Formats: sequence, structure tokens, C-alpha cells
Amino acid sequence: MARVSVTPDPFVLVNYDSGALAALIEKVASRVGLPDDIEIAIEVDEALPRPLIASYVEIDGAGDGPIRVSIWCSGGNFEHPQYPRRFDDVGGEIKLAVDLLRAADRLAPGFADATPDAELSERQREAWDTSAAGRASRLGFAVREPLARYHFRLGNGFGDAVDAVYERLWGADEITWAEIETACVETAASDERPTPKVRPGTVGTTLRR
Amino acid sequence: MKKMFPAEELARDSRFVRNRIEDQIFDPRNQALSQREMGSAKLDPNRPAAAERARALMHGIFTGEIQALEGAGRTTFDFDETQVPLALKLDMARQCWDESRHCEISVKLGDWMGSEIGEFAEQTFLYEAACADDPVLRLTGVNRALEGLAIDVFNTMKEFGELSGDPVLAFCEDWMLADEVTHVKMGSDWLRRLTEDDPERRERALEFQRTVDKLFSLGGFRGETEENPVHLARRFRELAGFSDDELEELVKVSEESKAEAEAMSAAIQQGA
Ligand SMILES: [Fe+2]
Ligand SMILES: [Fe+2]
Repeated sequence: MARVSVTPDPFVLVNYDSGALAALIEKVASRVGLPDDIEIAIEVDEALPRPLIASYVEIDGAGDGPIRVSIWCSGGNFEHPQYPRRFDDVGGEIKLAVDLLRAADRLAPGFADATPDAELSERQREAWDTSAAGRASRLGFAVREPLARYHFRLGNGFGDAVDAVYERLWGADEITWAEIETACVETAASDERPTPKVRPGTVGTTLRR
Repeated sequence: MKKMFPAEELARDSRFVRNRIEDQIFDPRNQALSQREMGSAKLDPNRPAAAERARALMHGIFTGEIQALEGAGRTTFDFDETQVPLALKLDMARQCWDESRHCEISVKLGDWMGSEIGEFAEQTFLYEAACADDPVLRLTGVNRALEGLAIDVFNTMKEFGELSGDPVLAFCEDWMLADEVTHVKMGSDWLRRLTEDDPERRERALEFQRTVDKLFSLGGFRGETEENPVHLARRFRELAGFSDDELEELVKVSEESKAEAEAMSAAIQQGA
């Protein structure tokens, strides 16, 4: 079982339970196949409500000690869309599944060269999230495919070529960083929008402190 | 059939959940957020969390369309021909036709954006503004203030669709925008006609419009700076019968409302 620590403990601005969140993370970590001896530290910025949804996953201590996954995310990530400040069990589980699958990716050799989360372009992030969401869906998490598709399109463009890349990413059971980069090159090539999305790091500069 | 139907009794199935504007005002996170540099709030595809911001706003518009349909429908029914001209009731009936189309467009647009019906909580203040006893107040509070806001939102979201290369969003917004301009114009025209010889009634109606405008500019939601998620669509408002002075007043209302919301939030925190 993964060892999980949650900050803050307790939550004061939202009605989330740190212990329940830790338990949920343990459960999801095991379902997505993270090793049992891993440490997961999550920091939730509880002041950031929906719709300000953002998260970063990093791996520390890949040397001798235990592997540690650090997650930073906005409180909006887990907020119920109908009841302000209430924890969303269904949505929260999906967000964690996607983030922890990306953490598992980072531990794999195929992601050794992956750009750190804070430096990912929106295109890269949406491509990676799409791949993780597709896998989470097949693992039985209640991922909403049309929502994943909209996010991908907004980040990568609206059109048949982009949709074909989306299908490929969604359907792949295994993926490497190189394949994500290739997908981004393809969607960039067909992107005719007046202001193609760049925004590397803007989530970081305006949401994460 | 009951006249003057209360907002609490509006028919909604189990997918819908209602919340109150007070929940938003008294949210303890407001104070923490107001002390942070959050960058531009304008609804732009290049802003962080743009997809989620757009989805939440468009779902709010969807529930607004339902209530606009309900409100216009009630106005055709709540007043007899000694209270309002038949032509006004016909205008409201025409608006019902438009609003029901907007509901359908919004449902399809929600599908396109990956949203679900009822996914976000509904607030019923649009319908509440349509419960005023005086039909002229309904026309200023709903048609001029709230549908005026709809013009601003649709125009902002049409630009969002164009910038993000989303043809479905851009077209949907354009189609609805065209209708909203006529709804706001109905409000402007009937206000003028019905209060031609009654300056006091006109003033009461305009005062109600200002109150509603202020409520909806809460926290600077609509304005003309980068801090306002939704921008004032001056040209479309002119087409809908807004004068230059009225447009300037709206900008002022938005600034005042933002300052008041910040003061309120600070006072709540100090008292807590
Ligand atoms: Fe409408
Ligand atoms: Fe309308």
C-alpha cells in the first residue's frame, strides 16, 4: 500500500477530509498499478475553487530511497460541481486516476526524457491527459469520454486530423513520451487557429503559487 | 392555472440542483483569492483552465435559457389585456419560441463541450426577476438587464469560439446573440411605450434594471478590463436600444459592484 500524506490537514476553507482523501489516493494508486512501497505527497491549494482546475505531478528521490510522487493541485480539482466546497467522490477519483497514471508513466523508461509538468505546453499536457484518461476508462474509472475529447480539442485544435490523433492516444494501452511528442507535432501541423495555443507554464504563473 | 408562479416551484428533474447566490458571496475562499495575483480573468482560450471556465459558464447560460423561456411564458399569461397590450404578449410569445430554441442549442452545445445536463448547480435569479408584479419591471429587469448581459456573454463566447477555432461554439453563440439583440430591443421599446406618460413608473423600472445589473456585475463579472471575464458588447447593445449614457453607466455599475463585493468579503472575514 502506498504511503500517502495530504496537505493541508485539516482543510479549513473547503469541506474536504484529509484522511478520506489519503484513503482514496491509496486505493487509486493500487488500481493504476503504482508500486506498493511508493510515497505519495499531495498538496491541495484549497483557496482555488472550480472551475480553476490544475495539477502537477513530479517524481522525487528516484535514487536509493523510496520513490516519492509529489502532486500539487487546486482545490477545484476535487470540488463537487453542484455543491460548492464539497468533495466530489466521483470526479475526484477520476482526476487522481489520470494524475497517478501519469506518475506511473514517469517511472517508466519510455518517459525518461519527459518534460516536467510545470513546463509542459498545453498541447503536450492535453495529449498526455488524453492517453491517461483512455487507460483509466479501460481500468473501470468513470471517465467521461466527451469531456476528455473537448479538452483535447481545445488544446490541440478542432478538425479531423486532430480527432484522429485523439483516437490514437485514447485507445493506446501503452505509450511513450516520444509518442506524445509525435502526436503534438501532428496536431500542431494541422492547427490553423489565429492564436495557436502556446501557454507553457501559464497555469504555473497564475494558479500555482 | 396559477398566476405569478414562484421560483421555488419551477419544474426540474432530479438532474438539477439549485444553489443560492449567498453561497457564492459568503464563500470563505473569496477573501483568500482576492489577495492573490490571479492574472487576467477574461474568458480567453489561452487562460488557465479555459475549458472548465467555458463549460461552467455555458451551463449557466443553459439554465438561464430555461428560465428566460419560463419568464417570457409567464408574462404572456400573468397579465390580461387591461394590464398590457396584446402586442406585448405576442412579443413575449415570440421570445418563448426563441428561448426554447436556445435551450435546444444549449443542450447540443453542452454535449459538444462534454458537459451533462444539470452538471453544475443552477441559480434562479433570472426567473426571480421575471416575477415582478409590474410587467414594465420584468421588461427592464429581464429583457434589458439580464438579456443585455446575455448579449455580452454570447459575444465574449463567440470570440472564444473564434480564437480557439471551435466552429460549433462560434456558430451557436452567433445564432443566439442575434435573437438576444431583439429581446433586449423589445425591452427597450416597450419600456419607452408603456411609460411614455408615466415618468415615475419609468424611473421605478430603470431603478429595478440598475439593481439587477449590479447584482449581475457582482465581483466585476462584466466590464471592460482584463479583470472582467465577460466584456461589454457595446455595438450589439446600441442595436438593442441602449444609449451611450446607459453604456457608460453599466461600466460604472460594474466597477462599483466589484468594489462592494471586495468590501463585503473583507467584512465577512473580519467578522468571522
Ligand atoms: Fe436566450
Ligand atoms: Fe432571450
